[in-house]
Amino acid sequence: MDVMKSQATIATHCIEAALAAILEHEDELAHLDSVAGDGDHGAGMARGFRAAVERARTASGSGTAGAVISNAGTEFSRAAGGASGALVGMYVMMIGSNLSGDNMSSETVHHALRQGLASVASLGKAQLGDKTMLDTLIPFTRAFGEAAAAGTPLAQAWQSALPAARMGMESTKDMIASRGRSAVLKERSLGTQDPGATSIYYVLEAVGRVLAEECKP
Amino acid sequence: MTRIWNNPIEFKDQLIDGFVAAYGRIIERIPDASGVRVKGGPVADKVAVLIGGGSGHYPLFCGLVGKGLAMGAVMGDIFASPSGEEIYRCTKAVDAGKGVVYGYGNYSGDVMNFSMGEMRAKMDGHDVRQVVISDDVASSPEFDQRRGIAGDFFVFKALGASAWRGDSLDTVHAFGQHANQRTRSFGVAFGGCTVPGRTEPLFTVDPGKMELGLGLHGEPGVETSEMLPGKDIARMMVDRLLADAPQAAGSRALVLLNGLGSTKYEELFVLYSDLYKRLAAEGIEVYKPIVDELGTSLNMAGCSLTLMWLDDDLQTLFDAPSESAAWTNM
Repeated sequence: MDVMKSQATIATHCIEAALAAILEHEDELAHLDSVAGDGDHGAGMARGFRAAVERARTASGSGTAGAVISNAGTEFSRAAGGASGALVGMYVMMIGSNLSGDNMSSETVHHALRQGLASVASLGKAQLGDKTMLDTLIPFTRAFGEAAAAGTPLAQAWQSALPAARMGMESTKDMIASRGRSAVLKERSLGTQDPGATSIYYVLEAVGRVLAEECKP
Repeated sequence: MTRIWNNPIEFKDQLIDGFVAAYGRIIERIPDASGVRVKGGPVADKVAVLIGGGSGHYPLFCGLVGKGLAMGAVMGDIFASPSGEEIYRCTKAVDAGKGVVYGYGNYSGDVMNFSMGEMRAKMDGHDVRQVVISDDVASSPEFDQRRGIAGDFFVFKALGASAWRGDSLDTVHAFGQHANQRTRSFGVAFGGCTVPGRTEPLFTVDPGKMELGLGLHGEPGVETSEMLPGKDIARMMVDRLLADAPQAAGSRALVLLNGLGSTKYEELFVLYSDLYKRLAAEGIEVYKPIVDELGTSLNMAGCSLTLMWLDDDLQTLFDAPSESAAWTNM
């Protein structure tokens, strides 16, 4: 087993850390979003994670990590609204509902991450290179999968996948948006990192810190 | 900038509270949901028209709920689509058993969330149709890829009138689609808007410039131009719309010159003094023109011109009586 602490507690800490990371970067996200969007990305993510934290804390008393995360995702969607609310909420919810039982190993988490990724791709109808959160999530999930296949424990596998996520996030700077509201602006979106790709990176990074501190191999 | 607020996080809930307190003779808050509906709940024996989108666009969307218009509006945060969950709750709160038609502007967040709301409502046995409004000619060459801006109003009026006179779900939906097919808008912006709690506008326009093809969410335009005199703005707006006129639509049209928030009525009338001549010169027979604010973007400076090419059906629907907080015709 990868973890000693109650998995539901660790899952709740992950959601809390995600909120803290978004609040820390809220102004930066607003700025990125104002270039080609409406500047509300940071506020929407904060609204969603605030509500998600409340729900996660309620659910962590009785539920598994999966229940905590899927409840948090559902509540994120309800509270956040907007495209990012639907997409990030769906991502979190699908990860939670695909985490089975008490077996939170790197293999089971990889399975859940893939399901979450597939649901976002299907809902948003975007692909790698479209300047969206997928440009962070696809390389992250791939790198995580490679580490998991090599038998790397959860926390280390997560850490090892973050550089790929960061490179994916940074690559959106040189992309022209073709999905979402910024797609209307086309070339005007060039030169600015995608806010959705950025915020989800901060979430992954925050979750990585919690796992590194709280998961003992 | 937006100056009046208590806590930016509570801005939307407080605006709904104030709106309901002010217009409680027409509408009521939907219990446990972010929206309003016609006072008295679901309207018996009528198809329900549910409109919605982000807040910050008043009178879109809550100001257009009332007799002859929408039965309900679901309200997101400032410039953010309402969530699928809120749309689902509002669908349940307006359906009188005759089905529900959603009307909203074509933005990826709204499309995703209304589709999620529809999916859940259908699982509960609600019959739902969608009219996704796409009037902004600047936003894409493809009609169904375009955004919805001030043309929302004409489409909502057609949907509401059809529903209130007792048309079937399929008929209400078809009139909404038809109205959208015949509606075109083009806008210009002179300055960006500032969302509550922030100090910087979402974009700025350099002095002596203007943005063409504005967005209704404070997005910058799709291109920048030198600032033009009113008569040249009028010419450009009319040219852009007529270049994209629906096919075989005739020459009779409703006209809406819409202010975005801080471009006020006198300036709009000056612009209209050139617009009506330009429209006449192009052979457009203008029916009941409107110079007003019917789709705004907080305190954004700018305006848009919308034409809906009429046929007898659409003219009858437009003339049908209505009463809402922001639009009343008897």
